[in-house]
Amino acid sequence: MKKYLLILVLAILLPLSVCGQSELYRRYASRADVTVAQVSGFQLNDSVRVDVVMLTADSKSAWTQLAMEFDIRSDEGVSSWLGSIDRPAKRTRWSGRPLLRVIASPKRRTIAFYRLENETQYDALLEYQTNNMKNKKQEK
Amino acid sequence: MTDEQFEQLWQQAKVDGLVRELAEGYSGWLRRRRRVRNMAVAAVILLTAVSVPALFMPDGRNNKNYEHVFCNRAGANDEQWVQLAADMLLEDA
Repeated sequence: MKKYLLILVLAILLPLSVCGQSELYRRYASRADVTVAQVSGFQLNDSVRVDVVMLTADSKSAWTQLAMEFDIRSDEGVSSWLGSIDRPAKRTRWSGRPLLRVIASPKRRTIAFYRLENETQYDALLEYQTNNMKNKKQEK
Repeated sequence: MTDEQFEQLWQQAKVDGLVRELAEGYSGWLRRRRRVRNMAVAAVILLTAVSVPALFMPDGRNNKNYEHVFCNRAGANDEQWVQLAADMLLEDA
């Protein structure tokens, strides 16, 4: 009976761990001055979803700290880059390997990391940005 | 011991050996059957346990534009974070 219970518990826990928090989320989750949110499966189009982690500094000093950690020099404008999975602050180029599209907004005191696993996700993200920007301009 | 007695004992020993072999074979068969039954029960439990939480788990088959939101602050609104994820992309564009 104990054996069956163990199997039952494992079977319930294993699938739940599949839909888990990313390494980046876990790294910042304990920071008192940063609100961390992870949107798993953020929909870019009918078939493409990506995981997004967002770090929002709760104060100006927290933002200064975050900006230093990610080497963000602009105080005003939005900065964006492709960062490696292990070291998101490190700027890199698209090489077909999984990486992060990082967008930092000083105005919102937020840095968003979109995890791109393949070229399809990379293209879908650009397409999403283009289409939504067009829609936004048309609305104005 | 007479030859007759010896023959009788010999036959008895043969019968005992046969019975023992049969008994061992039967208990082995019982063990195998129990193992198969245990595996079948475990498989049923596993399938049930995997499929039941899957019914409640957010996944790609839902109609929402996201699957799940984690946040280190209690009380945060999931939709707000999804909106922020979308807004940040437009900030860059």
